Amino acid sequence: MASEVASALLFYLVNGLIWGLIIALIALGLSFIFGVMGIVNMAHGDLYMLGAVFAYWIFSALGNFWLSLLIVPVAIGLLAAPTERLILRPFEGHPAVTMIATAGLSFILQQLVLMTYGGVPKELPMPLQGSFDFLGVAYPLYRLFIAALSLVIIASVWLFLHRTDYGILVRASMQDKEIASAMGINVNTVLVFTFVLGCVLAAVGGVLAAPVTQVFYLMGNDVILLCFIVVIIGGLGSLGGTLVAALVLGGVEGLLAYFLSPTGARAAVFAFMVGVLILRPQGLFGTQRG
Amino acid sequence: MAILEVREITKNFGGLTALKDVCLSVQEGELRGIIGPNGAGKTTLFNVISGDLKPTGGKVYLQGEDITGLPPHKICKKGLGRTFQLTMVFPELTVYESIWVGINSRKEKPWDPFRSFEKDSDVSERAEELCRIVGLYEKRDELASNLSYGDQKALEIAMALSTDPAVLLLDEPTQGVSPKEAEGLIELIVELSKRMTIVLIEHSVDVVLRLCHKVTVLNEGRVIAEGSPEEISRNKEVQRIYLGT
Repeated sequence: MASEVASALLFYLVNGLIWGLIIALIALGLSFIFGVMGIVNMAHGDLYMLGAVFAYWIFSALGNFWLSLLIVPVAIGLLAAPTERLILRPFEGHPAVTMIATAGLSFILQQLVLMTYGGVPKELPMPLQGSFDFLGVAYPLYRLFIAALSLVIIASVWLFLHRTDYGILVRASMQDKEIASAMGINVNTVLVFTFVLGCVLAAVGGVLAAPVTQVFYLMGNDVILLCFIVVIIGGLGSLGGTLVAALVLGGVEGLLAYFLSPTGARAAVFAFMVGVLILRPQGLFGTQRG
Repeated sequence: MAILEVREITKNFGGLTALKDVCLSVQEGELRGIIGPNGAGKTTLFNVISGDLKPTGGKVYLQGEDITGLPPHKICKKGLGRTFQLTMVFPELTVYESIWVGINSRKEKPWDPFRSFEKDSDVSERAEELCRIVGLYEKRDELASNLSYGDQKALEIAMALSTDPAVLLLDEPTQGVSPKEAEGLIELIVELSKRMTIVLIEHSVDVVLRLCHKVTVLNEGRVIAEGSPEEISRNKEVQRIYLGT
């Protein structure tokens, strides 16, 4: 009996952690865009949704799920770059206006998908069959693949930011645009790059999640809320904090889902965020900005 | 020929005139001081030269080339370096990384997402040399936000130098630092002025009169006096502004 409870709990915990890793990918993009551009991207959840919808389309057309991991980042990049140039750039320095603009973008993306993809949730078959025995719990192989790939991507983003030429430039621009441009950096190209990278991270999250969730034109709404919680708890602009907060929240929500209804678990997560904000308004890992 | 030439620059903010027909001609190798009471337009003038602000009227020439209205990163590449009045460094980059950014930005193909940072030996040699020049070699791996205020000021100068400018604009480099640190920074500026053209905004009139070859006095957005330190200290209008007599 006791061991059954333990393995069920473990299953829920691992599920939550893997979901946390997907959330971390998406939230990393959100945090990144906010850190460099000062933009709260209200359409971020819909890029996740687009990633999943594209994955569904690519699977329907070509019969291969894995191709979407290659095609979607390129497609989203091609969409995101002009969006930054044409929609966000004119409102640079007006955070409230960019929030409204991206909220409008969110509605447009959702309605476009509703028009073309339809309003009925659809499912993708598991791209990887089989399961992995983990401490007595049979765990689907594809979910472990999600975890591994997410970790690899997150580690690559970190290495990119800290160990490459362009990464140092992005961090410099994130910290102070004025000095960066006085030092000969064309901050505008960094802004486009950041927006594209952030959007691609969200879309890849969508591709990875597509086979384990229902692909639906409103699926981004749920995710954007979680991402905001993660980014706020982790501390705005703190990439490590974002990862830790996503894992903690995913794990906690996963465990609570065993005891409570999914809605109850989500409510508990919100309560946790409120508590954090009361005690540490800058987030758990954020630094106070003067 | 002047290395930096400001011709009849006017800058209006709405109805407020911050600069009115300001002319400034700085010769190569000069150490020029700019003084004036608060709100005289000193920093606005720097911002117009560096491209952070577009002038309402007038022209700026750097090494004979019209740079008026170019974005800051292009003006930087034409040979202008600057520091800001409020100390500004990249808080979460190390001293070495901060300097490296400027050196790298001058290269032909500066930013490569796949190139590992630090591999490039001529860049890292120059970065270490600059760390030494401003006396931060021992602290090169410290995060900028962990440095003392005076060290941050020195780092700012090193960052401005890292782009290898022909003309360096320094905006109150000794503001808010201890007298001992200020002495060190002034020595550094004197040393640098042997190798490049420097325009210095300084709150302390004494420092400017002691160091600079030539001094320009701004008041209410206009140049009211220009000349050698001796001429400026004898100037009646300057005395009136500073002493209120």
